[in-house]
Amino acid sequence: MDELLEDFISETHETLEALSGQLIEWEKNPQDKALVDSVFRFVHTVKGSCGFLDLPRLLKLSHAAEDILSDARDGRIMPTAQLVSAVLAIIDKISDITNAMESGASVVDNDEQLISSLLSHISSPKKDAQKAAPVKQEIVAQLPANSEKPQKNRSVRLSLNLLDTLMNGVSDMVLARNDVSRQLRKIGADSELEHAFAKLSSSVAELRDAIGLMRMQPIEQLFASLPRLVRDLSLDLGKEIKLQLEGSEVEVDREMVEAVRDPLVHILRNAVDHGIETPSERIAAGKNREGIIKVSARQSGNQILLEITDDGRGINIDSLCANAMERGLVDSAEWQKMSDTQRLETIFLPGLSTAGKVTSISGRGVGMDVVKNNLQSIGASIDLDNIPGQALTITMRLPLTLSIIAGLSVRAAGQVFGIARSAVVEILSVKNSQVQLEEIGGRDIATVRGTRLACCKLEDILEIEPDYETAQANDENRILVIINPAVGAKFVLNVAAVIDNEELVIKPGPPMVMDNGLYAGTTLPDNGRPMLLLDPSGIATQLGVSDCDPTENIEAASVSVEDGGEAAICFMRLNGKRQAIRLTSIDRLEEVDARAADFVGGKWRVNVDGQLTDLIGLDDHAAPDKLQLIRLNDGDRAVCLAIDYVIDIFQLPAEMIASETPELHEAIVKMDGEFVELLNIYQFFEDNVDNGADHDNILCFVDTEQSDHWEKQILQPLLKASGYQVSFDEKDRNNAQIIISRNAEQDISDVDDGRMLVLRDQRNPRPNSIASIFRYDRIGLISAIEEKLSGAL
Amino acid sequence: MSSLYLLAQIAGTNVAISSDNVDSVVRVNEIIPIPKTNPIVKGLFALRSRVLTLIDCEYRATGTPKLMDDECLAIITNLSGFQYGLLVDKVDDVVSIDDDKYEKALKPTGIWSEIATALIDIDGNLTMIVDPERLIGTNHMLAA
Repeated sequence: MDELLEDFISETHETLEALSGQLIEWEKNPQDKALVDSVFRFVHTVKGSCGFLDLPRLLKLSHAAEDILSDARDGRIMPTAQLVSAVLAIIDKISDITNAMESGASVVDNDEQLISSLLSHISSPKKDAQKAAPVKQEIVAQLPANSEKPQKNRSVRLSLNLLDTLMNGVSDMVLARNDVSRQLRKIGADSELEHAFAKLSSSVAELRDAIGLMRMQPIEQLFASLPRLVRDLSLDLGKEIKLQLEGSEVEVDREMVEAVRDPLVHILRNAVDHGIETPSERIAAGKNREGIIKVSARQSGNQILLEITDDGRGINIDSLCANAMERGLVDSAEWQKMSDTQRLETIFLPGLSTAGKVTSISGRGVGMDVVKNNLQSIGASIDLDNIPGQALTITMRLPLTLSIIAGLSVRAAGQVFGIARSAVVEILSVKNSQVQLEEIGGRDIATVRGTRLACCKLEDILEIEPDYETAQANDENRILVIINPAVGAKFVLNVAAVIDNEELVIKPGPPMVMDNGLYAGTTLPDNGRPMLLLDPSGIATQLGVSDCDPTENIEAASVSVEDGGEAAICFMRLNGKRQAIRLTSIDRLEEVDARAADFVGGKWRVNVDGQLTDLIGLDDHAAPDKLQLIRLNDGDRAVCLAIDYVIDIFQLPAEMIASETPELHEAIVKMDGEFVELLNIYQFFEDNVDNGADHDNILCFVDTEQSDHWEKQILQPLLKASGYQVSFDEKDRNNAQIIISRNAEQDISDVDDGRMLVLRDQRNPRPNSIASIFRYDRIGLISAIEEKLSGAL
Repeated sequence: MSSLYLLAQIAGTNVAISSDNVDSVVRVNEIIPIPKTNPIVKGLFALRSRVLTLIDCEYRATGTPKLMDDECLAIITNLSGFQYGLLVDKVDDVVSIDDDKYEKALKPTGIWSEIATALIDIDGNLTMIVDPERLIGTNHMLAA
């Protein structure tokens, strides 16, 4: 069965169940306005859903009931007992048809009869009253027959309380397991016990994952039904609409998905029906033929933002005003006093609508008030951003209760805090050369790749006593976390360490903890120690950047792009010489332990982050404990230049004095009144190019007839070091660009092959033998290969 | 009419808390401090996979933070959906108290008048009847 239809059936069942008590109440008190309202809402919802699911029978029934109820609500007719029975008959019929759709049975079609008995109340409320009662009898009699039909059991609906209990139970189990694991380690359990425990552990972990999934679901589930809804509605209305969905991977609590479904559908329906204009209207208004509705979800701090934007006509405040006054919801004096926002928010008043006419899709004044009520009941809020004639954005802010978020744990002094990973832009070491830290007027500033950002130590924000022993030692090992809060400009949080990345279940903290605005909640990570989750927006407020425009981060005057020409860095070499290098050729500055540098493979090399890079400038100079390195890059390769210390970054002057040794020094430049050599970095790469890095796809076939020991142990490494691929497989003979053979006495016919190189074992060639190369003549061999490749031979 | 009360000590003073408000009494080992918060909050602790807030009752009653040992005793109570641990010196007993045995002529004074509802004589010891909601209550938070 269609998934949407299933949703509709179970939803209708649920509402009916919830409504049954109220229906009985209503039978007793037909005049009760609140009851009329809730029955009306139900019928309205059914009508809306039927409209887009294309269920004409149900649509007709619910539309009729809605008409009557709408009149009753507005006081145009008195809800009498007979009217109530007639409406109840319709509702029973709706229930029957829904049941029938589920079980595949058919239901007697006496809809017209029901409807006419109902509509008779409009013209003369009393006359046809008798007719309604018998109809109802007939339906009731039908019910048992239907309920006996076997129902398909597709899923089980559980109460969230039960899920919560289950989830807490499993969490307890995990903690107990951790405890047992500690105990086991203490007593040194034997392997059998360990094995059993490992089994238990893994099943507990599986269980926990499953339970976690039970509660959370991606908002995608909610989004899935939207394209169909928009498509059907727009077809109905003759509009062209493109629906864009964003952030469907955002995970929210199952409960939240259920609670948001109706409001979202309502808002979307309104957007399609009232927001987006018909294609001709749109063209007349100078817009694209096709309207765009964008639904996006994103997590922001401890909220989930659900935005519905349409580029339609927006809300017309004047017609809103006229409507509100007509219905007596506000008088003109009140209207005058209202701010624009307040005026806009009259749309949330019960019984108000801007729709020109009532359609089968929406617009009878339910909608926004119901939406707002529904959202408030789950602690969510709704905001409108209206640009009349152009667009309307509706933002729902949903609380993040019990959501699982991807978190980053960071340390400040001795304590660990969590941050939602969604707010983290980048993590950098303070030693990173792309970062400069400075202070002005008591405010720390971090310049990251030319952008200045407010920066603060987490310890300072939280007023934690830094723990001095470690603080001193680790000041340069600190980590910068760039954070993009929901509100305000980006800032940099300077933390002692970044500990871990883990999934965190966030629960709100008690009011006195949340009061200071710095925390978004509490969580219990795997280690069983409670952790506070930091609220990026709260910290932004604390830092005073909350009201900064996030887009207006001032680009710091990056030295290299200013008009004064290129910048260069001036430094002291280990040999005591003052030299400079163009900034553009520098990758970064680095400090490494002197032990990372070693004279291996014939030259100095340094191990930086596990990669071996050529090291220049160390030579015979006594290496200090810590090496300052300038990492140079020619685009493909990097080399490191060891220096004593950096003096300054300066602007290269327009006037440069030519050097006598241009291969070593580009020029002599003046820096702060002194002359320094501007190094030509070409030399570093020229000398240090790995042989033939481009030969990767050149294949050498080595012909081995007898023993291949020498070829494999000595020749192959030599060829590979020169960048050639080596094959001993006869099949590759034809593909190879070069064929090498050691068999000097072989057939002449083979030698005709232009790709053939012959090696000999003796230093001197034997007389009358074919042209060959001594097998230990490395240079001769490599150059012969190169010559062959270039076609010289 | 009588009801059950848990007898405990806060800042050396005998207190009684209605058992209706008491979930359990636990030993708290590890407390995670909460920086920049109301000093009445001693920190967070974990109990059976939940995170609870530990309230320093001594600070509430005397204005001086309680000195902490390695372990401490907390009375677990529920208040508007959150679970709290009330930090106490010790827990004595559970007794049944008749509602009409209150000292009619005496009333708690000073800061105790904010947190205690009545005085009562239990086996010759004067005891304050303490209401956890008032103890934790957020209305005094603004002043703190």
